[in-house]
Amino acid sequence: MPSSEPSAAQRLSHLYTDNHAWLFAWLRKKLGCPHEAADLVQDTFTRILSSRDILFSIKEPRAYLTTTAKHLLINQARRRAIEEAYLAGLIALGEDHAPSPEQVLVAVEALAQISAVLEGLADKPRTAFLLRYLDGLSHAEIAAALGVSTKMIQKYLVQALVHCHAALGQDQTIAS
Amino acid sequence: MSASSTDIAEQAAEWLIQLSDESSADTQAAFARWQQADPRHAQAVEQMQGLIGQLEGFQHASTPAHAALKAGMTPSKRRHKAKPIAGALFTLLALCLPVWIALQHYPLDYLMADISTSTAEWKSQTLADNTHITLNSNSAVDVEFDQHQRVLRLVQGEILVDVAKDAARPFVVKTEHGSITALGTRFVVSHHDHATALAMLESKVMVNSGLADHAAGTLVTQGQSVVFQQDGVGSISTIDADSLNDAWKLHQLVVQDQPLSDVLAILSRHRRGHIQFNPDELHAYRVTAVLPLDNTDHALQLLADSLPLSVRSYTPWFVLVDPHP
Repeated sequence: MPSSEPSAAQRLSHLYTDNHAWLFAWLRKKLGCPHEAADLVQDTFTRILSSRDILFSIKEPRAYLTTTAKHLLINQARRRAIEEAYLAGLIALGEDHAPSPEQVLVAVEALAQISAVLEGLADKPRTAFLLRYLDGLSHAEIAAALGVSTKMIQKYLVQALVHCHAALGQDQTIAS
Repeated sequence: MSASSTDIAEQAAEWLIQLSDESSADTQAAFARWQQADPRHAQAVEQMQGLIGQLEGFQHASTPAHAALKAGMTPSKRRHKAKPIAGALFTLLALCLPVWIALQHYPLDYLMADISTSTAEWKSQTLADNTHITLNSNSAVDVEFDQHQRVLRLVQGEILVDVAKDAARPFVVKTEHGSITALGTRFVVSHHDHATALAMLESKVMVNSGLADHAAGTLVTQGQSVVFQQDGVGSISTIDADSLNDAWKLHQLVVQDQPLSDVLAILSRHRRGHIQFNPDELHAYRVTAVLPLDNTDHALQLLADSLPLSVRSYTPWFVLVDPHP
């Protein structure tokens, strides 16, 4: 059936042919490595491919693509920082059995998600939240550690959970 | 009347937090009823429990997880405010540091000297009176010749001087520690922080400590060496003039029973990178050796082979030398 409106495949194809070259050049300049740039170009288009809505609503392809690529870049940098810190921490612990690459990958994935979700949460609620669930401290112990009442700690913890819930709802790609 | 999703999230959070501290059967039952009341309740609870479960999964490695989360989060707003100042300080430091390093390595006197060599550079030059001088690495001299005398001021480092005869004009090498008046000679002068060392290769010189030229000085002849400071001339010791001659020709360092820390300090002068060591730890070791100055890596290796030392090089620019544990 002929249609004046281009199909999703045609749109993507146009978007790709029109923008692939400059996006690659831009990322290459930013990253200084052609391989990483090529990977990130691919990731950027894959992200668009994953949502028909995005594909049909893009008005400014350049702006959208650079924003998406920047997001991916930041995530990549965040992930790398997390991985480095986590591995350094494990080595410092002196664990006898080194985790497998898969275990590290899963852990880094989870930590990246948690850190993205905790982003923007105020210091005190975040600290209370981590002390409760990462360190397994009781409300009273956290209250003593932070020098506030148990009631305040409960308020912080509720605040943290609500914040995380909102953050998870906002970015379904992270939640998935 | 249906609750907004924010209200639901808040209630779910309150339930979970309450249950995380005390979980009596009554509370559990009330919580179960609340979840069943609306599928969105259960959904919110499930999502929050998922996150909590993820965090609890890291309890066995809480320290690395803390570090990782910290690394993953951009600094909070308060720290953002401090950034411009920190940034400015950093820029200032980045701009000043090269200058500071340059001045540490090459003081102003050195930078303004008439003849100088940089690290790992040797330079031979014939002066106007046909006197021949060779500058060792990182050395600098000022040439002050006039009708009455020839003065060579050693600002830094070490020189080999082969003095041309000129009966009318005495030849004097000056340092901040004193002066050496040549009587037709070949000798080596090394300028150190606290003293100047002289080694005679041929003939003899007169050494005067301090800046004033005293009439009576100390006579130092071929095969002898002496160290002098502003307040006096030390005792004379003997050297092997032939091997020292060769050393200058072949760019070697000849040391006889010298403290290792002194030897490392000399090697460091011949090296573009830094040799880190603690003089107090190494002072007990003494060295007698001929070391190549044009290849300090090899020189360090030779030292490590003959002494209980560990030589660790982190980059070509940083080598750490310390005694074997």
